[in-house]
Formats: sequence, structure tokens, C-alpha cells
Amino acid sequence: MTIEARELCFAYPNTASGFRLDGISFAIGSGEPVAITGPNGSGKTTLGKLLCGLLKPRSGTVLFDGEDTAHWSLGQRGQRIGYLFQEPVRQLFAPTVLENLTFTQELQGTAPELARGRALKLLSRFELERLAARGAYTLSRGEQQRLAICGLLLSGPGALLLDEPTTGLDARRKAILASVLRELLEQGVSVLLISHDADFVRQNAERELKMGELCHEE
Amino acid sequence: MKNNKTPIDPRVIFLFVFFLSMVSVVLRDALLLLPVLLSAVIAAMIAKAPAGMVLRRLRGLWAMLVSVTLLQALFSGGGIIAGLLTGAAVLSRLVILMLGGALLSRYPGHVLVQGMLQLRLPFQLAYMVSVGLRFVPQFGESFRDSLTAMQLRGVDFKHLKLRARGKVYAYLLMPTIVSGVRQAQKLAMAMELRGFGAYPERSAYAPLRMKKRDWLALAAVTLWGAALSAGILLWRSRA
Repeated sequence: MTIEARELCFAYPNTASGFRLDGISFAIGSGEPVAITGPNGSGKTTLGKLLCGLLKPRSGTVLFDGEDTAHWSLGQRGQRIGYLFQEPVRQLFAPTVLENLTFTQELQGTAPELARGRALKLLSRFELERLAARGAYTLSRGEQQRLAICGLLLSGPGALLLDEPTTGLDARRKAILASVLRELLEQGVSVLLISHDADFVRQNAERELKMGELCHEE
Repeated sequence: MKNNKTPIDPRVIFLFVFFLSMVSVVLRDALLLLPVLLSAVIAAMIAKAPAGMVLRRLRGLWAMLVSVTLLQALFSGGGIIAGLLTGAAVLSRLVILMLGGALLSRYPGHVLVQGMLQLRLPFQLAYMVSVGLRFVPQFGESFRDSLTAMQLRGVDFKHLKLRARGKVYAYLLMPTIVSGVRQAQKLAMAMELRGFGAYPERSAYAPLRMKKRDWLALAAVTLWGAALSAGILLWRSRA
């Protein structure tokens, strides 16, 4: 899936900081791995939220595969783009690890057995299968991160937007994540990484969008 | 409660909110809850409590509350009218409790704690209640965040059946409660590390003193409580 931002402008209401994103434009091709980088407070997460519709731009447009997404619901966007929050616990809803992956599928009409099979396959890929019956809120930060990523992959999105995906992951799990991302890229899934992990960005992104070069800050 | 700078003594408001909450929890009849709800609304208006702000912050919950009301109406038995009345009672009870919270939210934390201490409540309990009130808006925000995260997992609420929607709302409460408990745990640890409760006795820098209008407000609250109780008992004896 291609993602394009055209002249995006945004400022938080009622803040005295003067922070604003001004006239941001860029395009990401299908199956292209891109990183958004910049110092703390430069607006990386804000830009990510604008791209998936969590925030509304003051002006400008976001296009998925050339289609203007301005009037899309969050549910519609979610079916096209997977967004990983900085705090993975916000993306876990059901009591157990397995249910966290099966319930959204079942809501969308997938047969329970099929949903369970898909979920177990993904859990196995991220070395979480032995925790399938565990409470999702008793997992470590890194395990929750991996579970949240599994949740995003289930709906088969055309693009992934991962905000600090390596936080809490050890070297082995970072390597697993990198290998999953490579597979997705081969399938044409676009990947947008927001990260301070310079090594991970260098190894997994072909292009870097630096916030300072993309927009004006005050 | 003439203006925002000098509100009524918080002990009077505690008494009012305590009675309001107790009555709203005990009463099951929507018609009986109506005068209680009206009293809460009038009190919030007189006190210029930020009821609108509290209700706006909880806007993510309204869809759930209306769903709960409808589910009550449909499945509580005894027919649609009885069901709707039960649903209305649930909704009224929640609004009354929220308005009670809004009335107390006008006071700074230390004033609330001082009020409770002068009502002879233990300091730990008083502090816990005042901190708990500060968490109320965060529950609303946390709920909205989770709702958004679920939509971003591709769940389109517009196309969900009522039963599935009910299940989704039940799931959404989970991260809200977990994040609340976790925040409370973190806060408790941080407080203990900074010596909370290190001394058995506490002194007060600014003890509260009841003024003439506080006594008048207390008399009004007492009269209101007595009249409401008498009205409820009379209604029940006739029914």
C-alpha cells in the first residue's frame, strides 16, 4: 500500500509551547521501509497519529493508495494500516493472550477455529505460544509489545506504522521482529518506523524522514 | 457557594454527596430517583461545579451507558416499559454519582483531605479518596484511548450488532481498570518512597472553620435530606 502526506499542518489546541507541524509532504511506496526520526518532542508520534487518523490535521491530506482518507472512519483506516502505540498495554483488551488475538477476528466474522489457528501461528512466530493462556496484563513489557504487534498483523494490513517497536525487546526478539518485517515488505506491506533505536533503523529502513527537515518548529 | 473563590465548607458538600450517593445506590425505582437526580443537578448548578466538563470528558462512555440502558430495557424482563424504567434508573444513578464527583472536584486535594480529617476519618483513607477523585477524568481518557485502539485493530463499530457491541464495551473496561490500578500502585510506591505516613500524628497548617453561610448550607442539606427521606418513605408506604 502506498501512503502519501500532502501539505499536512497541525497544532495542538490550547498549548503555549508553540509546537506545530507545518506543510509536511512525503510519499512512501508499496513495500518500502521508511523511518521517521528526530529528537524528543519533534512531532514524530504526532505525525504518526495524523497518518492513521488519531489526530485530524488543520489542513492537508493523507492518501492511502491514492485515496483521500479524510472521511474514513478509524475502523476503515484500521483495516488498511496497523498502528503500534508507544504503550502496548493500551492495545490489549481481552483477559488472556490468545483471546486478544481471536476476539477481533471473531467480531469480523471469522470462524472461531480458524481465528484460533491464525492466532496460535502468530504467537508461535513471536515465541509467545507457551503464554497463550496467560493473563495479558501479567506479561512483561517486551512480551506485551510482541503481543500487540501480533494483533496488528492479524488483520493483514497494507501498511504498518510502528511507534518505538523495539522498546522492551531483547536482541533475539528484535531480530525476530526484523525478520517478520522483511517478510511483510516482500509481500508489499509498507513499513513506517518511528524509533530512536538507530541500529534497528539503519538495518531495517531504506530511507529516513528527519522531522527537522520535514517541518518547521518554533 | 456564591462564587468560585469561596466555596462552601467541603464537609457540608461531603455530607450532601454522601447522602446523594447512598440514596442513589439504595433506590431502585426510576421515579424515586428523579428528585434525587434533580437535586444533584440543582446543586451542581448552584455550586457552579464543572459538571459539563466531567460529562464531556466521559463522552467516550456515553455510547456504553446508552447500550447498557437499552440492554436493561430489552432483557430485564417484565416488559419494555419496566425495562426502560430499569435502564433509566441505572443511567440516573450513574449521572448522580458523576455529579457528586463534579461537586467535590471543585476543591483542591489538600482542602478535601483536611475536611475529611476534621470529620475524624483516618488520614490514609482521606488521602486515598482525594487522589481517587483526581483519577476520574483519567478513566474517561483511558477508555477513549482503548476504544480508539480497538477501532485501529479494524473493528468498525458502525457495522457491529448490538450483542457484539456489548461484548466490545465489556472488553474495553479491562484496560481502563488495569491502567487505573497500575497508576494507583505506582503512586503508592512513589509516596511511600518519599516518606508517606512516616509520622503517626499530623498537624494542619490551615484547619477549616465553619462560617455562618456554611451552617446555613448545612441546615439546608439536612432539611433536604430529611424531606427526601420522608418523601421516599411516604411513597413506599402508599405503593
